[in-house]
Amino acid sequence: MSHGGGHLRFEQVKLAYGIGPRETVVMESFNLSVSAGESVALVGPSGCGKTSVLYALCGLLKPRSGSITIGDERVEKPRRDVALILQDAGLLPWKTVWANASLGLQLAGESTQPVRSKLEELHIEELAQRYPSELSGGQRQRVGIARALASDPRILLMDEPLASLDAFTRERIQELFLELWLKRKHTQLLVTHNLEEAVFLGQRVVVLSDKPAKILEEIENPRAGSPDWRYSDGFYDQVQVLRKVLS
Amino acid sequence: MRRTKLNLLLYLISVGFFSLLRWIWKAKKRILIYALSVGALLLLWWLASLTLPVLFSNPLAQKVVPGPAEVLSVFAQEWPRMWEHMLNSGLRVLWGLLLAMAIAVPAGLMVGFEPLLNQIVSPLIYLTYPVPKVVLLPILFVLFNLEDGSRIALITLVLTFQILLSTRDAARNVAANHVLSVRSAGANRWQLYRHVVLPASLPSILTAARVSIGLAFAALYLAETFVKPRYGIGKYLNEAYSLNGYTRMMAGILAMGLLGFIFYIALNALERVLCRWKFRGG
Repeated sequence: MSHGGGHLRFEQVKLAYGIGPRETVVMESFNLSVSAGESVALVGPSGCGKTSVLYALCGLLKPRSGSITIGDERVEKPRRDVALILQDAGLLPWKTVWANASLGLQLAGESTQPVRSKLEELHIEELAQRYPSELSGGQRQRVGIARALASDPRILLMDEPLASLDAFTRERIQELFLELWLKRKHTQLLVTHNLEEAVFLGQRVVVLSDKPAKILEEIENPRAGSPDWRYSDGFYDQVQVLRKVLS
Repeated sequence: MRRTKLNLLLYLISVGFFSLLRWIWKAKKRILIYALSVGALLLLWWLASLTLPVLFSNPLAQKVVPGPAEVLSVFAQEWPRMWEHMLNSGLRVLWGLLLAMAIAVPAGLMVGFEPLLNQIVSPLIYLTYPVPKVVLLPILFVLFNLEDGSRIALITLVLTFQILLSTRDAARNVAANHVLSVRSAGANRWQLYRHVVLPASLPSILTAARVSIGLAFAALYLAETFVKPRYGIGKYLNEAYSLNGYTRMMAGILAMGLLGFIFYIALNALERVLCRWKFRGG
């Protein structure tokens, strides 16, 4: 199913934790614009505030100043059209695959019927009654994706979603992310430490500086979006460009 | 068509049969382990009954630890009355446990999960926790007119603090990732408790309940000794002790142990149902 993505914008945003003398400013006067249907990768040093960008977009972290908008609406609380995928998929160990995947819909008091098709789409329908502890890392991540997609979000946020996976599974899930993005055309914002992953999935790679984070460079990566891009000559050149910016 | 149905029926019967065999085999293993434990306990008991009179010169030492055969025989003889003592004591502990859970679980979850509430309530808990709740028994007897209510209230008080502390600690340690994952899906406070805080704390709550059962029986013994009810293991034990009936006393202790064992098994079974996920996978 093709999905019209959401345009998101950070304008003069200040994000911070704590108050008074204990305030830690993560980013100040931060500006970022992501077009509807675009796939952007955020890279930068550990603790620079990449994850905070995602939390702010989810409505879990309120900006101290500036504004974050999706389309014409300000983000003030978690929204149904924004889904977040966490590092270990954020699955609840006490819920089955089915219950985990349908959680968002259940919380919103909606029918969990669409979950079946999402599990089928991700080839995990036979795991529906299993618990996360009975799944491999790749299967767990697929459940996380099914949960995120169950509510048909316009914006998909991913916080190091593949960090805990082995190299082979990581590549397979990267291809799955790409396939889903090509099919659904949602807006995608990926936080990663893996430069190859950023170059493979991000049409634009935004490089952040250390805290308080500023945009060091935005690298256009127009060939992203093709499954063969990883095997093309220019792929590792692009990774090298990114590596140089970060060093 | 008929053959397909027959095959399906045969398949279902064989699956059912093998599942039953598997269940029996599994249960058999568990029963065998329990039987071995009981056997080891009886052996130790028997050895103690033989060695204590040799180790202690006191003439009463011959009597205080009677052998298991003697005690089991008295237990069987006393069974027509014993089961009523066990039932009444068991019900007091059950009510105490249920009331303690009803108070301690919601309170512990909120105190543990809401930092401000924790700051306010924790000092109160630390101030009152070390006070042995048994000292309140005279007050409870006045409030509840020497009836069962006072005994149940004492057990409730003892268990509430144990379960409250464990629940609070479990709720404080709920994984941030789980909270984040559910909050980002738009959960409200109540949904957060329902889908994350309670299920994450449940194993610790049940462990606390299991650990507290020993304390509950200690409180029960005291409550049934201060003012004797018509039926109760504490009363039975006390009467046996006052008549120097050590074999009867040991039979009473055995009954109390059996009751504790029933509670332990029941809580284990409850955990297997409520925390099914803990017993699956690696």
